[in-house]
Amino acid sequence: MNASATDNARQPSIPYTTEITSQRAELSEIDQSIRSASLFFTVSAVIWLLLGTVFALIAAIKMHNPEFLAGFEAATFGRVRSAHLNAVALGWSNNVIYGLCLWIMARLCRSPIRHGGLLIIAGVFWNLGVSLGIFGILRGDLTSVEWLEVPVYATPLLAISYILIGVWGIIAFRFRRGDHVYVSQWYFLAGLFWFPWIYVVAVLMILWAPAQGVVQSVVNWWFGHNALGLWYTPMALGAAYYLIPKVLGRPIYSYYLSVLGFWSLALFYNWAGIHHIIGGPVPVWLVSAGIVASVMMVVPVVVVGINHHLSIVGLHKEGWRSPTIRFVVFGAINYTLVSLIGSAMSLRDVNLITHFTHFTVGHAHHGVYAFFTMIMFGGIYYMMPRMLHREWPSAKLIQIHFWASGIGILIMVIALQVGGWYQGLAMNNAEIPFLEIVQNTLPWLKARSVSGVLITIGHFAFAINFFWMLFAAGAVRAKSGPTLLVSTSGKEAAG
Amino acid sequence: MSEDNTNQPPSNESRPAFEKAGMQDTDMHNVHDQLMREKDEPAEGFSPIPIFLIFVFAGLCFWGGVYFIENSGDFRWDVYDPEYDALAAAPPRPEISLFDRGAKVFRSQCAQCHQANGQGVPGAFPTLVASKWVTGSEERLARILVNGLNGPIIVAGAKYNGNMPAFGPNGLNLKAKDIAGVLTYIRQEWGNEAPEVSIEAMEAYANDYGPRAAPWTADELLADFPLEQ
Repeated sequence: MNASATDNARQPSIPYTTEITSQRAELSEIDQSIRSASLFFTVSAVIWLLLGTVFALIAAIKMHNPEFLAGFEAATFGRVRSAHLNAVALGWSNNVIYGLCLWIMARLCRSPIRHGGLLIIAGVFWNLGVSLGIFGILRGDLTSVEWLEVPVYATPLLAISYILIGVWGIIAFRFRRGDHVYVSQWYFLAGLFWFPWIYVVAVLMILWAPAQGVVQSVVNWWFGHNALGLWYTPMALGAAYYLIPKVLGRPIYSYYLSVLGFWSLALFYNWAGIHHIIGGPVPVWLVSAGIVASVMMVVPVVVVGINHHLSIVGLHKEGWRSPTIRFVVFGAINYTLVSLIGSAMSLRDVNLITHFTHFTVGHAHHGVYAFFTMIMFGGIYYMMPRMLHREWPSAKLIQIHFWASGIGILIMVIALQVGGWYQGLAMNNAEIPFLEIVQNTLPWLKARSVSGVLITIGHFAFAINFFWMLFAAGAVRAKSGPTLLVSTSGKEAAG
Repeated sequence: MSEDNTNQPPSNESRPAFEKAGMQDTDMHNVHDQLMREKDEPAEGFSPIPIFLIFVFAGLCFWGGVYFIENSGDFRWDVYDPEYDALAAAPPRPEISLFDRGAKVFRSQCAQCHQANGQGVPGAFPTLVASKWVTGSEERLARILVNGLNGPIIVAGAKYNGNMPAFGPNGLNLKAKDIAGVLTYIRQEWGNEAPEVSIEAMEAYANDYGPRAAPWTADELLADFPLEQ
């Protein structure tokens, strides 16, 4: 998304030197090696995103209109809500990570993916596993464990096919060239190990050979929180660390901050999940350790925030024009916000109010959507032109996607967190009847449904653009030059 | 680190994907289009960590340590309350009776002279068994303990001449409850049957007679409290 390339993209600003040509040829070779697999994962991800959005909308509406779709057993709140969670977590998020992060990993390792066909086969099995899981949830076979609702019979398929996919990133790292290991590679490599570890331990200790008593809930939240912190977070941060300097053409501000940010995340995050069971029948030292670790998460968050900010500062104008940077910066800012709010929520006095309210639901969407998903959107906007050798057909649709998703998620987070805060205050007051409290959450829940509609519009704009590009008509093929959101002359550059 | 990417001599390794010529000319052109407008692969600068961050993080670590210890519930598996106070939660030490306390004190402080059976040593240390000195006036007995006793004394018809040390504030300085305990013990053991001596009463005696330096004599005591019949 080079600024000077807008006038005539056929005369790139970078002169053709032999070093650069050779380097770009190498990149082209790597892109080619993972192209089919990445496309497969990304297309799967987009389909799951749309499905998950529909589930989410049904669940959101049912929160204030319980009679909505009341005749369908599969659409009862408990099932459709879990179907939403698993469709966006295992379907959208994992697939987009496989598609985007394995590609970035291969590029940074300067190592073409070998036998990409096998990767696609593993991906097919992953998506079969997710489909089986969602189908099982809608049938009513779901477990009662949050974040692990997928029925037991689908879990071995998920675990095995994940390992077959993740190993590709590790192989790429094993055959890397060059001396320097870039910060994104640390995050990806660590995430590729962390996710199978936490997933297998969690299904083993909760579903396959259940541990006794409260240990289950400890493992449950250790997993639930680590799925976000040791899987989605490192993958999104790694992608942001790649995309920001790549688009802006400026190095990351400080290697030392990168090191500190990575290792403090690795050190503190895996303790933090226990803050979900503050007040529960769990030894209090365990909970306190979780609280301290949650607050110590301020360290990696502030460090990454500063590192990203100082890498972008001064180039805001250029960033605003690039779809990638616009989404990534939105995600990066929200990473800082959501994490600081999360640290505050883990304090006992705050948790007393926010626990068991919509505040937590708002927080979860703040993290997974406003941070993780927005960065992944940015990544797709960067990756697809290189995969398909085409440009995004419509800047207008990208605009709609950004604004609908961005405003939508902000409305959702604000509605659920403000409403949830009042809900929590009221629930701590024994004078107020419970039904009155439920009544008072209705306006906030309706606002959440409105935000859901906005986000759905954004997703459909994105999907239309995506499939338009994928099954490109001649007009799209002929289009040249990057699709930017604001041209230098103030008009839309693309259309 | 950008040198790593830009200043590298072109590699002579073969590039199968390009040599395959699997693309049309127009495709090839497009590859260049997207690839050539890309910026270099990312690199990292080496700016130092801002110093104020180090202080902020050190402060956080300090807070974390204090909070963790304050709310650790003594690292017990069965403590769920963050307000748990290990000292307050410890079971109270069972309060032992004055008699039992006195028995302990007697064994450690008195038995060398008066013997474990209370019979004393003829001529030197008077017997405590069936003695009016023991079972009689509480105040007279307390005076002996607080200030000690010197010189001849007739107990239960036998004559003794020895030294009883002071156990009050001017002497070995036993606590009032220990003296009260030992008095209760000797008044109720070996067949003696006299009321116990309360701690409060003993505190009063220690206050009254504590300042006196000299030990009592038997005559002095009998002048104030004649021996009961």
